[in-house]
Amino acid sequence: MTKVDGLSISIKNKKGTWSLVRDVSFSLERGRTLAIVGESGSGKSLITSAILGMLNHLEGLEGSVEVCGRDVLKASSRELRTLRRNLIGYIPQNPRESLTPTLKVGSQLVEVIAAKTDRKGRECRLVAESLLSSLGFSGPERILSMYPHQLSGGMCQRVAIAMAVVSRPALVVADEPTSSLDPLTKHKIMEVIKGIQAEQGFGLILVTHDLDLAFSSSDQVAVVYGGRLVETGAAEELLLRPGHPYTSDLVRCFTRSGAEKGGSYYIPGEPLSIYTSFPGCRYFNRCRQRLEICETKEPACVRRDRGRVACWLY
Amino acid sequence: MLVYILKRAGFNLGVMLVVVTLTFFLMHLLPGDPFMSQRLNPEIKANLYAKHGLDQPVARQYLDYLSALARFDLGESLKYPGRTVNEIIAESFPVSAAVGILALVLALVLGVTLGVLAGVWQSRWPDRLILAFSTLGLSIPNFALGAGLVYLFALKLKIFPVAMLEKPIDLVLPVLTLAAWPAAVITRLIRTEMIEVLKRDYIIAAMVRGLDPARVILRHALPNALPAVIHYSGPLAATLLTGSFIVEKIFALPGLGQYYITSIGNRDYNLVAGITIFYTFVLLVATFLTDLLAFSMNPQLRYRNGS
Amino acid sequence: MGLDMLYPRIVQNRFVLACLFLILLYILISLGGSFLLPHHPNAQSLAEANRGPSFANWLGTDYLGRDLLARILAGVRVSLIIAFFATLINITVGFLVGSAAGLIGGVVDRFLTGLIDIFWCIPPFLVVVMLTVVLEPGIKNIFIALGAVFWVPTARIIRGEAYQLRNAPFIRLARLQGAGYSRIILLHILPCCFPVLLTTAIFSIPDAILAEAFLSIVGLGVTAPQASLGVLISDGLQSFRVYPWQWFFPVLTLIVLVLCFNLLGDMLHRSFRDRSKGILEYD
Repeated sequence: MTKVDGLSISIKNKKGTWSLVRDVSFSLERGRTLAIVGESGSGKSLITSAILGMLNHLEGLEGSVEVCGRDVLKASSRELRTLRRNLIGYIPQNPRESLTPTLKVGSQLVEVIAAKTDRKGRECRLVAESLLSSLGFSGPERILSMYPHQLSGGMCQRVAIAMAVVSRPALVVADEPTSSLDPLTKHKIMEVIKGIQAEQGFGLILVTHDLDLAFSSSDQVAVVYGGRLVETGAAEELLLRPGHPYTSDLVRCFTRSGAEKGGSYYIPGEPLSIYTSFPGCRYFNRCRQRLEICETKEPACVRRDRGRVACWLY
Repeated sequence: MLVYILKRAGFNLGVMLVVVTLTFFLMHLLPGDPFMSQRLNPEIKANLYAKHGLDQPVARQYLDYLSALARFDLGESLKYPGRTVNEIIAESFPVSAAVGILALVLALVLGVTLGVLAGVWQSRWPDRLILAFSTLGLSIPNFALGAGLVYLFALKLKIFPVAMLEKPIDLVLPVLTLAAWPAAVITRLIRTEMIEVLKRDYIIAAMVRGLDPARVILRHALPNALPAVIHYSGPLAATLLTGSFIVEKIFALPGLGQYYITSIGNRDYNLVAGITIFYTFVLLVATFLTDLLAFSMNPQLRYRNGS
Repeated sequence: MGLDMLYPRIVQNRFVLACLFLILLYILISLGGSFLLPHHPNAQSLAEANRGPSFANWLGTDYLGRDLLARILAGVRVSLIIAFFATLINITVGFLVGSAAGLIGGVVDRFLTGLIDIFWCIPPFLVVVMLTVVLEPGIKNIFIALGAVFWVPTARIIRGEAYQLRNAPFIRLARLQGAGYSRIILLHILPCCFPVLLTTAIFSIPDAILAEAFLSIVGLGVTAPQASLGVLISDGLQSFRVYPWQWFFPVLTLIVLVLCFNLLGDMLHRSFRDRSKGILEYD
């Protein structure tokens, strides 16, 4: 069980304080998948970093991230290391760049296995081999003796997945796991991740800007805009009956460009820069259903069906 | 790989030829001749000229010199009769090299350690302290540091002897003097590289995978920060091995540098040319070796051009 | 690409401001200072040789009884002149060779790059020493010899920059409009390389000052009775065990001068590098 409650991130510099992420809350059961979708710059990467405890040094970090009842944000660096070893797995964005170029794949995998489990040398090697073959590698010994640049992006990603799941974590955070892969590999990698999830039953947070991927492989979807979760809900519900105007615009972009051939749909305008302070809803300038109040006051998050939405229409 | 080595060897041979030619003709452009200070009668002088082939046309002398060089024969000193240049180098180079190797090791150990510490604690007080030290190290030339150390430790505190070379402890001050500047340079190089490398995805990923920070720094970050230093240490090794004129002068070490300076003053063509060629040779070999080392440390290069 | 970006940084950073002020002070004093002193830098007085610092001679006298302060001021002037002209040669030759190689490409590039590569492999101090000996030591010949080796790294950097600029849209446009190489080099490449050139120049000055000192110590300095900082240090090294001030004051003068230029260069280097980064600063 993972619970994120009131997560806010802000940075301070000479020119003032900037709020990058505001009041993000959601919870995720074991075995379930939550997709966080949003445009680039919406704050989804920051949310991921915070969940992984990478922003613990920031002063402007508020709220809590609880994994199995332990707060990641308040963990000391030693506790954080234990958490990362036992409870949280991480699947990175650029698989090839997430492996050290000067070390062989095997030695890196064995190092992670040794750190995450209490096994020693030879045993780790065996674990590594069996793990790789369960991830669909036919010749694991050969892979282990290669350098990262000799593997394809998809192979590197499977190695990274192996590193993430070796200690049977409670939560796996996948940060755009397929954005740098070609479409065919993309599906294969998602299958691999889902397969392991079915076997181990971890909660999966899937951060992506790929709506296809988000709706097809997750139970819940959280839509981020301007540093806020504007809507969360079950995937099929959001797809059929989106609540927030932004969600419905997104869904329309997604379905129109995919299904019909009569030209694609796009959302007019640009998102507000994070350096613009604006008292109202951050989608105000692009919204087609805006009200007067939207300009002056930010809407609170309210229940809608089985999800939540932050919009004055509800 | 083999092609690369052959190419480099060919290029280095070319550089050697350019250096030999330049040295040879520059030395013959020099005003004065090697025997002008000794008041010799014309007959003896003519004999000496004939003995060293100086009465021949310059082109002839050049070809003779090249053919001797091909047999690794650098000729006979004009000023120290009966001694060959090879002998002089063989006798004085070990002194320079001993000090140089020690200084190189010290500079590398000190520079890499401080550089890593500064890079890891970027912008915090250890970094600022180390940076201040290295700026100071860069700005204090070895003639200032060397004489300062002698004055303080040998004359005032009397911990070390003044300019002598009998026991190993006598090497402490020269080695310190010689190592200070390169240590400062290496510190800065490693610091810059570490700061870059620590931002890379694989370091962040390694931390998020729960590895020990110390392990991540030493095993994942450092090897990727080292190539810059390896490339730098080739020319550095050559400079340190061949000795520093100034350090040898201050500490009165009987090294190669001393001979070089006196031989120029003496117009000892053969000795000057010989030492110059030897210096260049050491530099080329050192650069070549460090390039190979950097090459073998980078698996991407190794596998692309290699097997 | 102008200096306007630098201005606020220089004013904000008091440390750098102090360096700049010291450098100006050095230049002013070395130009006019020796006229203000009662002693002529070359006036000998054997009766007063090797005196320590006193009221009459603030920094003491040397082995010929010449006033050390007057000689240091004259020495700074000679050292700065050598450093200035060596840097001028370095920048001019380095820029022209580098930009020609990078911009023109083809055979010209291969020839010039080959030249740079060969020079790169020859120990620079050997060339300097040989040239100084052949040309005979003197202010002019020393800066020529220094310039003759300093340009090599500059040319290498500029070639890289020019090579990247070669295919930039505005340069292609200029070439399509019929601009010649010399025009492109002066009008387009020079402004683009300005930050690099300025930083190189600032770092080249302390290098030249140190190289001049090195030459003096190995006996190839400017000829007597002229004094440079290097000559003073070299004289001081002969007697520093007995008369330490004769060594200490010139060395201190030199170190402060070199330190100022190095710190200034560091600041320039950092601010030019920072400017090419994004706007988002997390700290």
